[in-house]
Amino acid sequence: MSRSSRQQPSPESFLPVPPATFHILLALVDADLHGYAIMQDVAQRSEGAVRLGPGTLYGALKRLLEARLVEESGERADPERGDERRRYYRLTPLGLAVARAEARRLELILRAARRKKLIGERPA
Amino acid sequence: MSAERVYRLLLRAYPPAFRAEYEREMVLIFRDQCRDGDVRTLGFWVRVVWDVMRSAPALRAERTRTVEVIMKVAAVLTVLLGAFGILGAINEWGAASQHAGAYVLAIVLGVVASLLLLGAGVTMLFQKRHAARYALVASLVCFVAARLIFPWMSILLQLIGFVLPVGLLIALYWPRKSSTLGAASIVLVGLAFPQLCRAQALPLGRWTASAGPMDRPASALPLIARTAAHVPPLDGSGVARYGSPGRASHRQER
Repeated sequence: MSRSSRQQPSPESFLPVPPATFHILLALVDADLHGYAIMQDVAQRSEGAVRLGPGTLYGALKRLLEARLVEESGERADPERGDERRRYYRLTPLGLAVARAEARRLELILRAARRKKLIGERPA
Repeated sequence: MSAERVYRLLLRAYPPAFRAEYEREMVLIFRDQCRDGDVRTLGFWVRVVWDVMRSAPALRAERTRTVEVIMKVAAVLTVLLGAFGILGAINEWGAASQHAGAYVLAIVLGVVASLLLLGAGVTMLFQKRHAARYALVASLVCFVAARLIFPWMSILLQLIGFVLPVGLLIALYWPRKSSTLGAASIVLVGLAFPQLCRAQALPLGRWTASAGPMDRPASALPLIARTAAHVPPLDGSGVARYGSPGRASHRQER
């Protein structure tokens, strides 16, 4: 067993991922984002059902950084939001693997819910 | 008072380390929210306060858990080192051929100090901080007195007897950042203990007796210990013979 694989935990060991954390991981799948952009992405994708506040967001980001699922990708200004430099975050390969594993887990639950006709078909 | 100033006041609910890392970013987001939303509505402030109320206690609890784990490890180490201290003093007593008054008193004080150290570790495990503090101070006093009365302690035992209670007291008296540092320093002393033993080629069972100033060549003794009262006559090998003749001959064979 190589040293790196010994040190790196398996993606399954992070499951289940809390909903707010999964939303943050999903937001970072496509691009590096700063805090406010993550909040907006989550609010848009969930059609306003999930609204992260700054405290919840940075609390979750702190845990994700400690678990090495997310890393900082530098500080730069957002051209749309003025000159203030902001910290950008991106997914690590482990973070991406965890997001995939959580999506698969949720998919299995969804399939079971469909088989039971809880979703997808209107109950008679 | 401006909205941003109110928000900065609310941010004080978060742990200082978290604020130091993320306060600037959070204030930037708050400015964005003020720009995109209506800061004068009640709903805006309810969401802001709700977010702080929900996330700040969780972050504070996380930090407390880390310190608690470190303090528990430190407490277990203290119990072990207290027990080693007692064993070391008993070993020293058994190895000595003559038991003079000052020597007996120093050994008794050493045992009492180790017992107090052990008690401090136990009380820390049961979260009795006050009792642990008193036990540590008393242990420190006993160690200092024992060291002054008769220099029978090894450097290792002195390190444990002096540094450990001081480090623990720092950890117990400063409940904020220093507690982590103090507790971590004790854990480090505990972790370094076997390495020190190995470096001095000491079997753990005899770590006080064979490393003490009494078995060293008299020339190697520190000046402060080389008083007429403390250093007995040298034997042929230049070894000061405080302890039993058996131990000196054992060293000669080695």
